[in-house]
Amino acid sequence: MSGQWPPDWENPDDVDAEAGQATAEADARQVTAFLAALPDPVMPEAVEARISAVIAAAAADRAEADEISGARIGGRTLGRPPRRAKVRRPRGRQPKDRQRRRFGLQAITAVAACLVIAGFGFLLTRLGGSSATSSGADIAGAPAASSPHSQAHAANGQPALGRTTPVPAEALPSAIASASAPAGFTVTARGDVYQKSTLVSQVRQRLGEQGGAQSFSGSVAPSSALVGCVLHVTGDTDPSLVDEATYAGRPVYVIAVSSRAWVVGRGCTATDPQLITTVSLAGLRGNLSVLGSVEG
Amino acid sequence: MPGLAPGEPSDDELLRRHAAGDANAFGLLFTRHKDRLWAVALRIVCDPDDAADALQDAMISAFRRADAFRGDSAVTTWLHRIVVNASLDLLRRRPGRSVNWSGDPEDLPLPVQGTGDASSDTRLDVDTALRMLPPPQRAALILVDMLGYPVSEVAVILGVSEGTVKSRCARSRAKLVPYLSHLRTNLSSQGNQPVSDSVSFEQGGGA
Repeated sequence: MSGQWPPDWENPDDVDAEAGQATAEADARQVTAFLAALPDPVMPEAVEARISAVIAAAAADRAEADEISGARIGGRTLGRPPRRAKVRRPRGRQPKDRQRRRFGLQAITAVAACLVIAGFGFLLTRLGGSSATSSGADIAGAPAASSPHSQAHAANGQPALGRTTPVPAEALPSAIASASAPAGFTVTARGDVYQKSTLVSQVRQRLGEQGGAQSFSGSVAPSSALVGCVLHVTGDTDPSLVDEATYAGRPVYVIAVSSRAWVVGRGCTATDPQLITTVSLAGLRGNLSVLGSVEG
Repeated sequence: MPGLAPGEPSDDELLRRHAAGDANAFGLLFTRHKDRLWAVALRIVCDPDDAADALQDAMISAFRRADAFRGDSAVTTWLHRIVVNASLDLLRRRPGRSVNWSGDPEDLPLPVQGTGDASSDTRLDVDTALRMLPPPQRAALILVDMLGYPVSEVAVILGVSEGTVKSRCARSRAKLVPYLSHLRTNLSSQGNQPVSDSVSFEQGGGA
């Protein structure tokens, strides 16, 4: 268009800018063409096997959890309640009065819960129970109220057993009955350095050293978050090994049962397992099938 | 969904089955889209081991959040979004993977000397070039230019406006112009085709 204008209308700067723009656009098109021509990478078989194994393990965990949650004891359903049809709410913000009402309800519920716990603690103190000198925090951590398993279930959005539904322990399935027991494992921290290529053999070696014992000397009790994490990844099975270590240079926990090991981040919880990798230990006699590691 | 054999369940159907408790449905969904998802993760994090970690995190997340899928977008778009987020999360957790670059080709770190195999060297060069970009820009460029997704779909995947996607792509291309021009020149002088980027299976994946 500029060519149709009188010559004295032309601005040399505009012409230069236009040329520069055209060059830049041509260069950008070349970059696009170059990148588009690169073939897509194909997923390596080892990675596919690893992720397929993780998905299969998650599916098995879910099936097991569904079975447990479906168990009915004494006419009452334990564990996760049956799914209800989702009620879809209209998108966008909810009316402020509803938000305020909901906040008010939550606040009242929280205050009521605190009062109940405080009252329970006071009662225990008066009765001279074992927790007579406990602080409120200690009371909140009493086994009946927050045992490892019940915490794990609560963190999973499932009702915590033993809180509102007192059921004789002998009547419960083993995985649930242990809800009122302390953690059945300890955490070791020898500073082991696990590597991707040797993870399976290192875990096997640790399990061999342990020889079925539940703890090493120098091991410590796990935090409640870690208990929830461990029970979540193992499907409520007490592990043979929980090792605070590093894996490929990252701080992790290595968790193992006899047939499988998991590597999770240090921030692992029941709701956020931070799973880094998982390997099968099946066939400990030497026929190991590594399902969860890239290095195969 | 195009490309499905008669009687083969759609992605939506597989996700519904998974949510209803079918133990195999999610595995089928993963198998169906694994290469595309792998490409997304690998291109964004530029490292096969990290890509495997990111994709594993993403698949576990998708497995658990399938109930929350509302069908507002295609299942593939939803999966891609989860993979992109997992990849960007991984880069956030493991800083130091990106390289700051002034834009001058002379300032570029030298690619790792390869084995003499031009395709592997090119792959490493492209990796190096992509690492120059901030991860959000890299993700936009990869999805649009390398994997060929429409801008509108990429906007949904990245959770930004279409304008933002276009802007990120434009800035990314501008940053890569000097480096890829340099790369093309070198390869041409060696008598190689500049677009070879075959997968190095020994290293677990390509670019």
